[in-house]
Amino acid sequence: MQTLSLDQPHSRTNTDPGGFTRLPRRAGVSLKPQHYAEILEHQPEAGWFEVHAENYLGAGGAPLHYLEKIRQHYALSIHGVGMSIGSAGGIDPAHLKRVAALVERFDPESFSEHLAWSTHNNEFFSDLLPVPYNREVEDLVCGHVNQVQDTLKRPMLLENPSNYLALEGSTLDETQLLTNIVNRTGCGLLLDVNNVYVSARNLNYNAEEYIGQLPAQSIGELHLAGHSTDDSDPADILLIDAHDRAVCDEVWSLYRFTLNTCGNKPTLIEWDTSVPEWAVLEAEMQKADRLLSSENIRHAQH
Amino acid sequence: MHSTEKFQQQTSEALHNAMAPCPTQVLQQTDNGQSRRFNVYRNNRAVSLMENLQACYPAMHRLVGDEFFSAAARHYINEHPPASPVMAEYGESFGEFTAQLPGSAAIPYIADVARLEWACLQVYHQSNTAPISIQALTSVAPENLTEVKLHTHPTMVLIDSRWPVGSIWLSTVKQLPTPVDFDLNNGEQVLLLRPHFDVTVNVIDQSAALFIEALRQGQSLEYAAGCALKENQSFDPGTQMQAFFSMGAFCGFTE
Repeated sequence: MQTLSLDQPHSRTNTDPGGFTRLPRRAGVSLKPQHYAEILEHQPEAGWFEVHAENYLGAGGAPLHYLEKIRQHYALSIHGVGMSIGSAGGIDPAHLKRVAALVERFDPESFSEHLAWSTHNNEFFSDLLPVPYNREVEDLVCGHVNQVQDTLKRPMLLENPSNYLALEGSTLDETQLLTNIVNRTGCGLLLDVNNVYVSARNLNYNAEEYIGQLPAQSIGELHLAGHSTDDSDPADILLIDAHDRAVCDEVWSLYRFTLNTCGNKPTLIEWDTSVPEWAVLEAEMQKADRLLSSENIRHAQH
Repeated sequence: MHSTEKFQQQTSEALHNAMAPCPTQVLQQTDNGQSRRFNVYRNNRAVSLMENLQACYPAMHRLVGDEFFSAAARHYINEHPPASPVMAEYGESFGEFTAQLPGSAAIPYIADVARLEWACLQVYHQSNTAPISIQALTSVAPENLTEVKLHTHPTMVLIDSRWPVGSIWLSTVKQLPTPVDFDLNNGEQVLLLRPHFDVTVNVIDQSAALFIEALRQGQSLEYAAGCALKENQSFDPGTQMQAFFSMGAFCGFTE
């Protein structure tokens, strides 16, 4: 058992021994173009940055230039949003090849994707669509996770989705399915705490029980984000994973629970729409960092 | 067909058609919640693709207004959905598509504004090439200068429009406070360049356009100047060349 060094709680060497990610066990932030210049000029104290792979697949220009500059100073996570790991029609090999070239170029501390699908018959739906949870999907996703890991020559993290509905033909719990995929492919998990909260509320299950059922040692990264509420039908209030606002109190409290249950994990403040000024993201990041370095958290590193 | 594939096929169809019932595999949550919950995905898809088109076409969005733009985008998304998850590559034909819609007849230059905006986006993501300065030519003996072939910058795009598309675009993106009346009879030549990381939009005159186009085709300075002089007898190659150099229009030359 290793304990977190309290002298240097923000040390970059404080990385996950599990090998799923080399990110520091600190808070990081979604990197957005409107903050490139400010980050480069002031080099704020930030544990790491995360970018969406699909926004950096051009041949050149400002996005890649700034990412290269920022990467010189910070740890980096590349997060795919269009691989369509759950697609029955398979992963687009051309897209995978482009992502692999990006990963090779930037050698990020972590690569992650979603338990979802977004393409079908050569069409991209620009959303993370749900899969039923059963053996057929387990085999399908395991095959695709292996394909990604083989191509990228590194383990990936698989993220739990935000759920708005349940599907017929599901014979496994989401946590069982994720655990089976981890066991069969050697991938890690990206636990999105906001997604757990949103899904648990929408589908009426217990968020803490869900987190307790996951293999803690396989969790390589946590996500925190804000969600919106659709209360147009008071009898069926829905939470929507909008990434457009600050993390709410309930999700902060579920995050504390997660840290206590699973140990310290690199944690992202995710904000994709209505992106605020850097100072707002920085304050959210600092809040997560304070919780990460708090002595109350179980320091066992699984 | 495997059940996952069948479900994804049904879901695809239901996402395309807002009136279609949601896939049968979606379990009943509440008395009326089934399609409402599926609509989250319909809405996410529509909003995400529409926001992407708005980001690609900011001037077009302002010119046609939010309501018309959204309606056009909704049709476009369903008729020409993206094939790739790389959103910077989606929407090339949106301008042409919108120009065909009856409501856009009042804005005849809309397709050209869109053409300019699409070109800006492509140039923005193109590979990097350093421009050369005019000092580079000091190595050339003066008597050989007329035969020099300048290499135009690979990001260079020349848009030949029958409308004053550069001026319309500039005043729209800058949201100039007073409406500017354009003489719609004056077409414009617009030169896009990205010498470093910012795309520049330059309105140039007809003779300058003939000059740079000849250079782009690999003609000598003398030949290119001749093309421009045929259009405009007072064309000054020296001054124009300096102007193009300061825009970053060249990346090399051969003697």
